[in-house]
Amino acid sequence: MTQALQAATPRPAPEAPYYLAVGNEVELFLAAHRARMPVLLKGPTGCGKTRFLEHMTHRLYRGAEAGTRAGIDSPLVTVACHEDLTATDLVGRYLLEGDDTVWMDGPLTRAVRDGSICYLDEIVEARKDTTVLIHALTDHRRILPIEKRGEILPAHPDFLLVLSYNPGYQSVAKDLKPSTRQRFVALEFDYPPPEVEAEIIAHEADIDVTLARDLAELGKRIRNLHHRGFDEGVSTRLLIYTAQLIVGGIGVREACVAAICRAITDDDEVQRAVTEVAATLLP
Amino acid sequence: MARVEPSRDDAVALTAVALDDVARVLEIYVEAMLARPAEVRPLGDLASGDRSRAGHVDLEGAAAAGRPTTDGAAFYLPERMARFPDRRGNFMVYRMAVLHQLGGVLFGTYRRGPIRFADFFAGFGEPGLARALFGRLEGARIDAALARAFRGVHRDLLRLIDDALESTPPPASDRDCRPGFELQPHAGPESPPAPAPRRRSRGPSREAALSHLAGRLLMAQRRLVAVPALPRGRGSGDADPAFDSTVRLKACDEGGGRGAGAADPALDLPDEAARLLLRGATVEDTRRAVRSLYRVFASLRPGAGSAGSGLSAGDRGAGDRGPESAADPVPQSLEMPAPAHHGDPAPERVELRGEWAELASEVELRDDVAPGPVASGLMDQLQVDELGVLSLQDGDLSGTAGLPLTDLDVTGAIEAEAGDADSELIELDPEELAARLEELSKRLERELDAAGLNRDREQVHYYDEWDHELAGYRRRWCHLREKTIEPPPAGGVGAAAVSEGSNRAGIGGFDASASGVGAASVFDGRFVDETRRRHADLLRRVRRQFELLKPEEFRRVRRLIEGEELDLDRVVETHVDRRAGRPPDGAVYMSRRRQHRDVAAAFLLDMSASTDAEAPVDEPEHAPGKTPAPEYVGVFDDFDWPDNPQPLPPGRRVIDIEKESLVLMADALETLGDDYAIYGFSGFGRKEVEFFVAKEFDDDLDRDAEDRIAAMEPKRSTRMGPAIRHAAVKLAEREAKVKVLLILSDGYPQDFDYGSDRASRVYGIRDTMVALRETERVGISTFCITVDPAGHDYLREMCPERRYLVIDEIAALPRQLPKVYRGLTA
Ligand SMILES: Nc1ncnc2c1ncn2[C@@H]1O[C@H](COP(=O)(O)OP(=O)(O)O)[C@@H](O)[C@H]1O
Ligand SMILES: [Mg+2]
Repeated sequence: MTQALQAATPRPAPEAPYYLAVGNEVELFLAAHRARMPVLLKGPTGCGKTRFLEHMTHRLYRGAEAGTRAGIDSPLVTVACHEDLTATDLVGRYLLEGDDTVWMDGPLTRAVRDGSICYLDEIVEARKDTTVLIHALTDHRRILPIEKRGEILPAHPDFLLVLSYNPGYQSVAKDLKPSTRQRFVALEFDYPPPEVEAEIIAHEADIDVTLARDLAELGKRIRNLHHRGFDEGVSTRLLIYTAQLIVGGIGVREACVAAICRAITDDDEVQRAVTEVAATLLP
Repeated sequence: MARVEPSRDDAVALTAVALDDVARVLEIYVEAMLARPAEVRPLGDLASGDRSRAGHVDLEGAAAAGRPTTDGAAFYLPERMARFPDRRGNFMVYRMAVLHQLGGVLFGTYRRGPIRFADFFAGFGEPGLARALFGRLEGARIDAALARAFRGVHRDLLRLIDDALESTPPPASDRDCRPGFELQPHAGPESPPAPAPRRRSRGPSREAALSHLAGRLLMAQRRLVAVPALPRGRGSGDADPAFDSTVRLKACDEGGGRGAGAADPALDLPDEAARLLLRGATVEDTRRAVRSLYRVFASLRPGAGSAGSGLSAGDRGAGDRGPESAADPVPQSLEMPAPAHHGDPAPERVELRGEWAELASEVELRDDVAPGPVASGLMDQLQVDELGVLSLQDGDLSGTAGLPLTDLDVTGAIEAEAGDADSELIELDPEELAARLEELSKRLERELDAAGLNRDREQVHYYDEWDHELAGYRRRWCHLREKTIEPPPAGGVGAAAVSEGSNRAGIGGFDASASGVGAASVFDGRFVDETRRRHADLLRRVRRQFELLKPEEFRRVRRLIEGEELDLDRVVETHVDRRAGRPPDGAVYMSRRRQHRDVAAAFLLDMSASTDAEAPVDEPEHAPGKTPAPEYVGVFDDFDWPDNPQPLPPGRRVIDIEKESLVLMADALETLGDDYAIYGFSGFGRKEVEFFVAKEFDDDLDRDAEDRIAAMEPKRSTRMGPAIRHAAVKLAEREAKVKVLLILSDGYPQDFDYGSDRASRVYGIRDTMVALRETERVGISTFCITVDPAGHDYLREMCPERRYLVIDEIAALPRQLPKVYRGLTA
C-alpha cells in the first residue's frame, strides 16, 4: 500500500517542467524555501499546483540553484491523501519478515531523512492523527517523532514540507485548523485568468492560440456555474484534454461535449446549457 | 397527448418548442454567460396575467407583441416558439433571444449615459417612433457586437437574418421607399435636435420607409455575419479588416458614400446606422442615430393603418393585439422588420429599476435613513442585493472578461464620463435621500402595476412533474406560489380568509364545494385554546412520551488513538499483536460522544375542498388493536396508549380534526425542541398551485402562528406533487440530521389537469409517488397519513413501504399523528 501512495519523480528532465507563473508564486516559494518554511498550496483541483511544485522542485534540486541538493535522488515525494491515510502510512511500519520484524520507512520519513520535498496532496482528506506529525515537523523543532521505534528523527536541512488542499470542496468543519495553517506560508491558486490559461492550453496541447483562447473563455463561463451540482468547475486540465481531443481530429463542439459537458455533471439540463455555451463561443 | 394544445398544424406542433421545457436550460445558460443568476420567464407573466386586471394594456407592447424583453431582473420570452420548421431551429431562436438580451447588458445598452432614457424618449414629439427606431438600431448594434465577441454565433445569426429577409416584403420600388437620407444635413453628435420638419404630403409613407430602412439594415447585418468567424480578441484596432470593411466602406467614406450605396443595397444605409455595426459603437451612437433619423421619419406621412410586418419573435399567431392598443398615440405598426430573436430593449424599465436599486442599497447601508412606506414595501419585495442582471449596468464586468478589448474600452470610457454617482449619493442628507427613494419607489410601483409585474410579490416556484405516459418529466410544469395565511381579526366570524381570498374558488365549475364559505367554517379565533382544552388529557400524555425522547443519547466511538477511556477489547488485541510480533496501531481508546436530537419536520396539510366534508359524528369506541393498521405495525409498536377518544362535537369537518392534530403535534414538538414547520397546499391547475405557510421553521409558536393554523381552510384541488417538492426544498435547506415530511390528506391526489384524463387517478398518483421518491433520495423521510378509507389502494402504490397510514376513524388522528412522528424520528 505504501508503495502505491508514493510517486517518486523520475530522473530529472533536462529542462524544468513547463510552468507559467500567474502571480508571484515562484518568488514566494523560493523565499519560503530559503527559510525552510513549510508551504501550503490552496486551490481547486487541476489548476496547476502539482505542476508548479514539479517545476519548483526542478529549479531547486536540478537547476542552477541546486548546489548539493543535486545529489538527492528523489527530490519530490508525493503522497495523495485519502480518508484512511493514517500517521502510520506516512511514517512507516514494521513488517514481518520470517520471524523478524523489519522497519520500513514511510514516504514522509524518507523525505525527512533525504532532504526531499514531501508533498501531501489533499491533506484534509487524511485522518486527524497525521496533523500531530505535521506540527512537530513544521515548528522550530523540525523533527519527526517515530513513536513505534522510540526515535526522534531530525529533519535533513533541505527537507521541505508542502501541503495542498482544496478549499471549495470540503465542508468548513473539515478545513485545516488555524493553528496548523498558521505555521505555513500559504500560496493561493486558482484557475488562471483566460489569457494566461489560453497560453497554457496552447502550450500543453500544442494548438493554435485562438482556439485556446476560446477554450479558456469557455472554461471561465462554465466556472460561473460552480454551485450547479458540481464542486469543481472545469479545470485547466479538462480544457487541455479537450484541446488534445481536437488535435486528435475530433470536432470542436464534439470534443467539448465529450471532455467537458459529460465530465463535470450528470444533470442533463446543465449539460445541455454548457453545450450551448460551447456552441456560442466556439466556431 | 391531449395535454398539448391542439394546433392548426400538426407539423408545427411537432417542431414547436415550449418555453417550459427549456427555461431551466436557458437560465443556466444565462448564468454561465453573465456570471450571475437570472430568471427566464414566460412573457405571459409580464403581461397582465392577473385575472383581475384582464383588459389592461401593456404600454411597452412587448408582451403583447410576443417580443422577448427584460426588466433587468428576469428575461421574458414567448411561451412557445414555432418560427422554424425544426426543433433545433426553434430552440436556437430562444437561445439567441436570450443571448441578444444579455448582449444588451454586456454591451452597455442600459449603462448610465449623459441622459436618462425616460427623458431621452420624452424629448421627442412622438416617443413611439423614437422607441421603435432605438429598438431596431440598438438590436443591430448588439448583434454586430455579439458576432465579434463570440465565434459560435455566426451560423445562427445568418439563419435568423435570412429568415427575416425572406419575410420582409420587398418594397414596391426603391424610389417609393427611400426616405431620402441625402436630403438631411449630417447631424453631428453636438448639433441640438432640430425642430421637427414639416410633414410632407408626398413621398413614401413612414411605415414603408421604416420597413425599407430595416430591410437595408438586415442586408448590412447579413454582410457582416456572412464573413466566416474570425479569431477573436486579437488586440485592438483593425485586427479583422475583412470583417468590418464592407460596412466601413460606406460608413467611413465621408462624402462619396452615395455612389457606392447605389451599387450595393447592403451598403445603402445612412451613416449613422451603418456606424452602429462597427467595432466600438456604443449606445450613445445609437441615440445619436435615433436623433438624426427621427427627423427624417417624423417628416413622412404616416401610412393608413398599414399592418405590422408580423415579425414578432413568438409564434406568428401571438401578435394579436386588442383594439385597446389604439390608446397609445403611436400606432403599433411602427414595428420594423427584425430577426426573430430581437426583442424590446425596454431601457426605461431597466433604467428605473437600476436607479431604484442604487438608491435603495445606499439607504440600506445607511442607518440614519428611514425609507418611506412605499419604499420599504418594495425593498422587502425586490431584495435589493439580489437584483441580478441589473447591477451590471453600473459597469461590473468582472464576469465578462475576454470580450474584445475595444468594446470594453468604450464602455469603460462611458463610465468615466458618467462620473461617480455613488459618491454623490453619499453626500445626500438622510431626508433628501429618503424622499428621493420614496419618489422613485412610487414610480417603480406604478410601473410594476402597469406591467402586471406586481405578481413578483409572490415569487413563482417552478416544479417539474412526472408524466408516466411520457415516462419523463414535464419540465417546469407546475407554478407554485407561496402564500401566507392571514387570519381574520380575532373573534371574527365567517369564512377564514387566506390572503388570496376565496373568490376564485369554483372558477371553471370545478368542485363547486370548493369555496370556504360553507356553513361549517366558523372561525372563532379560539380554535387552538379550544383544542387544547378538549384534548388536555391526550396532550399531557403525548408530552410525557415526547419527554422520554428527549435525553441526549450517547454514542461510543472506538479505535481512537487518544480518548477518555481504554477499550479493553482493543487493549487485549494490542497485546496479542505485540506478542505475535505484529505492529500494534495503538488505537485502544474510546470516547462517548453526545448525540443531540437533530430533527427537522415539515407537516403538509391537504387543504382541498373535500376536507370541508363533515366528519362522522358517531364516534365508535376503539377496540384496542383496531388501529394501527397492519401496514405500519412494527414501526412504533412500543408506543401504546389506552384509547380514550373524546366524543366529537357535531359539525366538525375533516380539516378541523386535521388542524387539531397539528395543534397537538406543535405543542408536543415545542416540548421536544424539534425544528418544525406547518404548511398547507391546494390550488387550481398546474399554474396555480398554492402553498400556504402557517408556521415556518424559524417562526415561534406564538399567538399569530396559532391563528394561522386555525385559519387553514378548505380551498380547491389536491395537486400533491409540486407541494411535496416545495416542502422538500424547504426541508433540504435545514441543517438537521433527521428530516421528515408528513403529509396529511383525505384522498387521492387530484386536480382538473392532473393528467389528460380527469377520470383517471393514475397520473396524479404516479407523480406523487415520484415526488415522494425524489424526497427520500435527498435524505428526507416521508410519511402519508390519510383519512380516506379507500386509501389502502393507492397509498400502497404511492408511498415507500411502511410509510403510510390509513386512519379508519378520523377522530383517532390526533392520537395517531404523534405515534407516527415518534416512529419516524426516533
Ligand atoms: N500555470 C500553469 N502552467 C503550466 N501548466 C499548467 C498551469 N496550470 C495548469 N497547468 C496544466 O494543468 C494540468 C493540471 O494541473 P495540476 O498541476 O495537475 O493540477 P493540481 O495539482 O492543482 O490538481 C497540468 O498538467 C498542466 O498541464
Ligand atoms: Mg382532496
